[in-house]
Amino acid sequence: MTLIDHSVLDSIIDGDSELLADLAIMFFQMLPDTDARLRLAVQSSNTKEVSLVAHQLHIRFGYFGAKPLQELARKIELSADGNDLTNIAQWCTEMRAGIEALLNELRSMTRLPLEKNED
Amino acid sequence: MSPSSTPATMKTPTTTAPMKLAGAQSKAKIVAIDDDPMTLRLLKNHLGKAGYTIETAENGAIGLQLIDESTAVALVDLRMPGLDGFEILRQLRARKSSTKVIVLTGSSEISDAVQAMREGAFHFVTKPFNPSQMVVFVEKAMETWQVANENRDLKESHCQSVALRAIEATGDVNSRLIQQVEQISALDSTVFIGGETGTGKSTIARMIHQKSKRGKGPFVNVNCASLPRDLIQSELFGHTKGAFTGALMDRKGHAEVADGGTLFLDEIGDLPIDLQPKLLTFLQDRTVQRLGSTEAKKVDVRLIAATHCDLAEMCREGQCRQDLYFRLMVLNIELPALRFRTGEFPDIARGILTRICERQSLSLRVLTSSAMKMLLTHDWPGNIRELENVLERAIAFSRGTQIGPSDLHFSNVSLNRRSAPRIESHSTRESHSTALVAVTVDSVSQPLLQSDGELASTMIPSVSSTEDQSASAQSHPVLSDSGGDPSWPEPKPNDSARYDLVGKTLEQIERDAILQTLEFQRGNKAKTARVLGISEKSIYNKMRRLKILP
Repeated sequence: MTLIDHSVLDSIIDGDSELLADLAIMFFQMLPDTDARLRLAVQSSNTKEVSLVAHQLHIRFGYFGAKPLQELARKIELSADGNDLTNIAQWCTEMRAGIEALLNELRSMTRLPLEKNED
Repeated sequence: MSPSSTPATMKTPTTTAPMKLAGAQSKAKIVAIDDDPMTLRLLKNHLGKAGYTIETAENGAIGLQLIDESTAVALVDLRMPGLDGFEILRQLRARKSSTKVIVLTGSSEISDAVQAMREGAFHFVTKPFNPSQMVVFVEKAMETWQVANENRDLKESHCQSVALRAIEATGDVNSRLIQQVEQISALDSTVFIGGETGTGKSTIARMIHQKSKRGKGPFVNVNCASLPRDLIQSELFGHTKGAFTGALMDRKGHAEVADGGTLFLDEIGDLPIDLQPKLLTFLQDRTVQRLGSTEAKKVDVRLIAATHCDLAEMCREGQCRQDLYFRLMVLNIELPALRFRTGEFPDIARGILTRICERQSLSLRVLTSSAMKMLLTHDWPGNIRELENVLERAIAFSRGTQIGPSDLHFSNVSLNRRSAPRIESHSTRESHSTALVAVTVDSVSQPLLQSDGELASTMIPSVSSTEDQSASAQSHPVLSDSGGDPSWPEPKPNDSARYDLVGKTLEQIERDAILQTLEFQRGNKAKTARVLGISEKSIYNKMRRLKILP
């Protein structure tokens, strides 16, 4: 089972491999900062920030047609909007795993070295 | 595309054929403001392929600076840190921007999107968006912007043609003026247009531009009086990023925008003296130096300047630099005030009336002779512009095809100022026939009016009967006062001319003397001062004190 809905992705990138590569690189490069912001926001129970980061991720996942991840991000956003952080940590863990899977799919599609810096 | 797709199996980028865009559309730009770089990348890609010019910004403050008159569409994320989409909408509305805003929202923000529509957004699109759908929305917004701009241009050109027709109305002054415009248009020198507010200075400036070889270039109209003092230099000559707080990016000034065309500086008399050297440098070298930059850039601009002020007097008073004055006074046009155009006034009024009726698709209205008389006795401090407004109101309130005196409504400002320069009006207004004033005034006003026989006969006030004068004198609170020093001769109540100053304060008398002499000297303050036996400086001081000058 794949995360990416290719019909959605195709309608967004219109078959432009260069555009897909650019989007994948952008997504990958922004991940560490986004993840750090999310962790900090959850730790400090900053629901507004949790909601904002989840909202950004929801849109980014959407550009790849990654529907399951979109739904998860939306769940986090809505929960934060309702000031409920009860399940957020668990959902964030699920989302991180999903992001890894998404990166794998993007790697295989673009052959880009989307590898995390171990430093 | 399958999950195992490789770059080799992927389609090559589709080259969407750029849409055929109308001339103005292709020049129009789109500004996208979103804090998400991926969104901006996608917008740039798809709208660029569709043939649009797109500029992007990752925050509201910078984005707002990118939006200018040539921005047809702004794609604005509603939810951004700092200046959000709502604030951008509000600021654009405050600027009276014609840019159509499409708000970008997340799916959970529909209520916000609806709110944004209420606040003036053209449309909203939820993210992640479908690019082809986005292009359709942008096309629609672009078309709407285009139509609105065309309407505005048509309206502007129509208003100008009304004013132009008024200027072109019969009379020597105008045929001379049109001839002057033709001659000036053929040259490329600096032009100075003088004349009171509402005499058509900007119309003439645009006319010169349109008839000149620069006609297809930009015509940049800058009202110096409306520029905030602190920003004048930056507005005229531009600034670089960081030149001052709030200068978030480089920006062209009006002089640079006018490159290849004409820069019209209206109300140049309001340009502060400390900024005049900058303008002088620009006039001498035709170079602009943006605020914060050391680099001077050459521009090809023709300057037309205008003001209602007497620049020569301003030079004498030290409010205008003499070198600037001489730089400006290369080709000079002086537009006459409406009150000095008595001979051609009926034709001007009828011409404007016809144009307004045509514009509003109404049957032709006619001014009754008494309405025309009433118009003739008005001072028209707002000149042609004021006449247009009065006639437009008259058309709105009139019943039938005739416009009578009761249909004419003068604005309060006009009524207040009416008593100033046009002295004969006191005597001829049907509701204000005061013989005491009329007799005195005739000697001053007649020479001015006699240039047009028919007109003069309508404007010469009728002197009231002796009984009226007597009654008026007896009812006069000062003349009827029986107290006083018995050694003084008895007042002669029937000799109204003798007592025309009675009942007025010294300040009123001084004011009337200045106004009457000014009118007699056709607004020439230097001559007025000489006739009144005072210095030019004194006349300015007095005019300010008596609120004849602002």
